[in-house]
Amino acid sequence: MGLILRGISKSFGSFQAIKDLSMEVREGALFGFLGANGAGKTTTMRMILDLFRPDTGQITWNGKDVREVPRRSWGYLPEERGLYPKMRVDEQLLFLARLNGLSKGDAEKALDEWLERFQINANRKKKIEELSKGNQQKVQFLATILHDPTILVMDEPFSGLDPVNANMLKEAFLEMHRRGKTIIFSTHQLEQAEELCQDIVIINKGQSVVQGSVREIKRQHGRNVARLKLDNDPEVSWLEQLPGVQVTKRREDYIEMQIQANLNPNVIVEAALQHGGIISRFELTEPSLTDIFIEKVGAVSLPDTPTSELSA
Amino acid sequence: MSKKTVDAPERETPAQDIPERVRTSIAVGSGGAATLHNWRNIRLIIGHEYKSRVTQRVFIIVSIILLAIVFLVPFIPTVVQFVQHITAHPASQTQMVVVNSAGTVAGLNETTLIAYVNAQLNGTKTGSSALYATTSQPPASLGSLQSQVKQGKLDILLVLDRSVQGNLQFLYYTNADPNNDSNLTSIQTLAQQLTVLDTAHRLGLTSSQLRSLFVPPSLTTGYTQQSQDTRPASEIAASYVLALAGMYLLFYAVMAYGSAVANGVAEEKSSRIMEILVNAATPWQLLAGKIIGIGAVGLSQMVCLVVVGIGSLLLQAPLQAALFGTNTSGLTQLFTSVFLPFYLLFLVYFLLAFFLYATLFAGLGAMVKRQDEVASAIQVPLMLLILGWIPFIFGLSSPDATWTKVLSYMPFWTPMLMLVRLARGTVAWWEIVVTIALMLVAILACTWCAARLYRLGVLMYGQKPGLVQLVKLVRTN
Repeated sequence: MGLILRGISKSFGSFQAIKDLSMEVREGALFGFLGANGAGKTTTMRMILDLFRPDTGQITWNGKDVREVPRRSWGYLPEERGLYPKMRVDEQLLFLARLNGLSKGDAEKALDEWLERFQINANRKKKIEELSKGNQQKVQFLATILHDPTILVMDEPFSGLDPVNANMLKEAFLEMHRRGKTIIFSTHQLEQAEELCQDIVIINKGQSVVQGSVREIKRQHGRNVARLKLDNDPEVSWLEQLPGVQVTKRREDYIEMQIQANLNPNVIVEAALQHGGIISRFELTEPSLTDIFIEKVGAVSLPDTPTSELSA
Repeated sequence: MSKKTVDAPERETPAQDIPERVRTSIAVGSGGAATLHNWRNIRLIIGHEYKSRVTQRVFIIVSIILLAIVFLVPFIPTVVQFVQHITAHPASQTQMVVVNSAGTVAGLNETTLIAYVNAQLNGTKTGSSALYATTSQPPASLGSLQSQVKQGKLDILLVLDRSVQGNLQFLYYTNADPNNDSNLTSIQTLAQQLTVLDTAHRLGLTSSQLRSLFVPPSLTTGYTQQSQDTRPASEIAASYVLALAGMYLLFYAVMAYGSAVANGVAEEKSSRIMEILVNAATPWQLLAGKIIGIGAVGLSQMVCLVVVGIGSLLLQAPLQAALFGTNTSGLTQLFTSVFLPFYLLFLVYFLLAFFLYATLFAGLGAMVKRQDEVASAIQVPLMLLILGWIPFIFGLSSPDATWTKVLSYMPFWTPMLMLVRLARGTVAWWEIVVTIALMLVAILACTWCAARLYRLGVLMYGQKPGLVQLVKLVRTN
């Protein structure tokens, strides 16, 4: 069951933000919600949370309309972060947790546990405006999860975090995932989505472009990608002449190429050995989400180019 | 469909524990289920608003300053009186010289004339407390006396003379300001009395005939209408003061706390905490919690101010008694002479006014993008409030006029005009019921609009909508 969006459309005045969007998030999944800026991610999330109502279509959680799901089942991390700047961390979090349905005792217990886990216990009596940006982000995240919601909707949770804090957040994500929460998060950082998510959807201009499990999507885009590095010949100039091989990227530590489906990858290794190359790296890999994203979205998301779908 | 559900153990699905009734009781707001926790959430928000405001340093400082002002203002009349009491007392006697060139006036010789003049001007006061000290001088010293008046050594010079027909003539010299001569009326009265007495004497009237001339007329008044205001004069004066004081309180409260509501909404919106709040609570709960919370802060402050103010006023009577030996002000009477229902009704209208205006302010506060736009956003309801002053001021003098009655049924002006009608005019009990009912209806309507505006506005950061768009938004969404 899980969360199902069926034929959602939403317009703001004459601007159609979401057009006939359908997607499914399995219960307990870690779900990546990808799209370029202005693709409609935030609008969709707000509709999932019933902050906006779709013009047409239906959103259900386990078969029930989302507007009938208790508020405390939802945890929402908005993209624009905001807390009461002049309020103390603990007072703020307790207020929000209790507003989300927790009893005072439960809220205090959850607060102690999470402040400890996030290593900001020392800051609990400080005002928000006195905290560093990273710590503010952590408090914001705690405000989302303290009331133990079933479904977490997070808008760009990783933006603005340094690697240490991003990693801590990632751990928290996995912890919530282990606890059986359904997590939907949008991101620009596709590596993060690739690393964390089983399922993703890529939307563009309010429409779903690609969706499904990450593995499936990669398989569908079944271009075989190979990466090669020769220690004694960084240029590998002969590679371009090889039939059925197309070099796509030249990186410092490898050269990436697409190989035709019927081509046996061994041909490349044999050719390298023939040219006297010392192979330090050869791997067959699937296309990254970034590749797919750029392929699907890059072409159409150029600003001010009306697509045929949109004008239709 | 999903292999994942195996890992996620059978969790209680939240959707199933919503009671049936919740779905039908969606008032205003996003999540229907949130109505379940309506009162709980409102109480939490009230507590949050109250605590965070009352503990603000600015609030504490302003409150202390206001309390000090309210405590000290009633002392001003007492202090003024006290200053007059100690400074003005000895120099108050007016020196007057009478020069009589008219011979015998009304059969009085020089000594009895001066005694008569003194008695007329000073009334019952004698000795050092007399206002006027009159002496007589011969006509020969007239020139030097005139220059004494000019130099200010002498206050008044009164010259008596006779015309060719033998009528008395008076010449009044004074160094007082022509526009502000406090002695003139007394001297005029004196001249008139002397003239009448003198003419009567010359006509040869006996003293009993003279007395009959001064018998007051027998005038009996028959009013055909019952007096509408049977209250004593002190009570009427008190009602006047109370109506004005009430209006000031009302005006201040709506201005200060109403705009605090609008500012609070705008602040939450611009600091983006709103995004979390609207997910946790419904717009209706947020709106109600904020308005009641800030209202409670305002009410606490008002109660403190009123208690300290009345306490300070009540202090004045014993203080004045101690300073001057007499209680010269009727302030104590003022608060006890007006009956209790007035205060209770005032409180009711006061609260209704606050809720009506604050609701509108909150809805409009949700429309702005940044906090500095609040002032212009709440202009329209503020104008309504200020416009209420005009009928209020006119209502003070004509509390029972038809237009006062009609306007008192308009919810935005009901509090001010009912205040003035309750204090100064006559109000039937059903009028109170009807006006309160009308206000409640207006508050509900405004809350409905405001909750919609709030819900739409809090997540809208784009361009500020115009009035037409606003109406459309409220009606369609």
